[in-house]
Amino acid sequence: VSGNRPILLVEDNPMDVDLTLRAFQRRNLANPVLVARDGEEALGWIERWERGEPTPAVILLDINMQKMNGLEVLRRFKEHPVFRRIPVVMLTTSAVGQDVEMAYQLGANSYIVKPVDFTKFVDVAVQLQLYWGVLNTSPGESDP
Amino acid sequence: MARPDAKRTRELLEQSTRSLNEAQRLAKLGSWELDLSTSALAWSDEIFRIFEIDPERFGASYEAFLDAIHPEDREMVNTAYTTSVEARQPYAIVHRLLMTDGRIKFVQEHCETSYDPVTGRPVRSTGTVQDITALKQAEAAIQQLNVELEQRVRERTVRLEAARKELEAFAYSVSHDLKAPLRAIDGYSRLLMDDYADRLDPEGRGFLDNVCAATARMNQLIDDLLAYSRLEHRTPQAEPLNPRALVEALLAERADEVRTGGVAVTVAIPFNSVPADRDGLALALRNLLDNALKFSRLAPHPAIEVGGRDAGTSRLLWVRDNGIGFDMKFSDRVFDMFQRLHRAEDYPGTGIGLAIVRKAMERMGGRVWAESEPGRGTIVYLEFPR
Repeated sequence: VSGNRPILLVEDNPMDVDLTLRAFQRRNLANPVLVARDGEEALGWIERWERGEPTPAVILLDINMQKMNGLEVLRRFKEHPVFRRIPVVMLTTSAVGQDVEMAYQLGANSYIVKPVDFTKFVDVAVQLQLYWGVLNTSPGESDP
Repeated sequence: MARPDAKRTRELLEQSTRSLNEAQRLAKLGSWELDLSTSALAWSDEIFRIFEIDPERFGASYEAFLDAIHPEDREMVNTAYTTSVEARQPYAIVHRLLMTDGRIKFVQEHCETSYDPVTGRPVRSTGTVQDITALKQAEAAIQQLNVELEQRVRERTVRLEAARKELEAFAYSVSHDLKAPLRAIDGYSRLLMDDYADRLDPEGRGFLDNVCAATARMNQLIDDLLAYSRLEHRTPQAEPLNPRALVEALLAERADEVRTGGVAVTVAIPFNSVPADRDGLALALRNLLDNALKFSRLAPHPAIEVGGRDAGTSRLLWVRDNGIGFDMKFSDRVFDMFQRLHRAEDYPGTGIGLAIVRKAMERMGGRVWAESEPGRGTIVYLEFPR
């Protein structure tokens, strides 16, 4: 498992964090998942990456967060001369409104509507793996 | 013989003068005449009345005339007259009078000058002065009303826009804040089902199934309400759309359902375009197709027909099924919000679908109506005006 680049999950709803981690678990996702529980915590990672800690393969960023909106967090990530290359996938509850459009303008690489149905939520985890390709599954544990 | 004639002439003259004065008083239009060789100025009675000058105390004079004019307008009036005499052009001008008590009157003047045919010198100026204060006041009142009306419209528009924004924000937070807990309910129910199934008896597992089914229904309800409120707050864009292509695309999305249900689907639309809003048309057709699939599910040989007809001033599209149908006494009510004619267990739905269809059609300036017969099926028409 060592050498697997982590995933950074930025999500302020504790149950959504728990369910996302479990969805990844169900798909035997072997990449370590780092969790930032609000926008400021997420931006705190920039400093640690600058100090040489491994950068994530992908950032999963919730748009609708209380303390600092996901779009603001995205803007700050995409302002960084180096780390703006880390792909960012926005997580939203609905694709309604200008949020998604705004996210793309700010440089988001993709977005995912968080499904209410947990089975679909697990499917999303699979899609993430397939699409970004950079993620890894534990050897021998993948689904039949 | 001459005397009675002279008397009669005088009488006629007096009568004529009286009626001229009367006409001038009624029209608030006075006349004047200036003899340029003698500088003698004559005013009609009405001019004295308009200028509010006592003819017993002051005679007519150019100075008295200038005095009555509003100081700010004096130069303009004077220039208009002298220019007119020099240019040999009649003139018309509207200006103000300032009364001794401070009241302001508006008058309209017309004037022309005649010239000596031999020397070319100006001989005589004649003019009229009409009091148009009432007209001006009415104009000002209308203008004031217009300004106030515009102001009120602006205020209302701002308030409406604020209300619209608020509703949009409300719809957004409804979608977010109601869905987050739903996700948790569904997620943990399924985790419970997957990981603890062996510790639950069939009844316990049945409870969890019900939790998940209710969650799915609630989720659909939120989506439908959002779709409805979005329709309300979006301005529809009319463009020619190909209904056949749209119907085919929607049927492709439902291919599994059509196949497993053994539904015979025919599409026969004899035109390539209807003037419609893309999202509105898609929403309307999607809901009608879903309804047709749902309500014909239990028919022995489920069949759905999507058709169209050119009706001159409009184009019609329809979706027909051979499902359970409904009593025509409910034909209007089915388009109301939350109207369900069938049990939720048999025919799941939110009761918003047809309300969405009606709203979408209304927003496009069109109409929707249904014909149905219990046990025989339903046909829903969409009408698009051209």
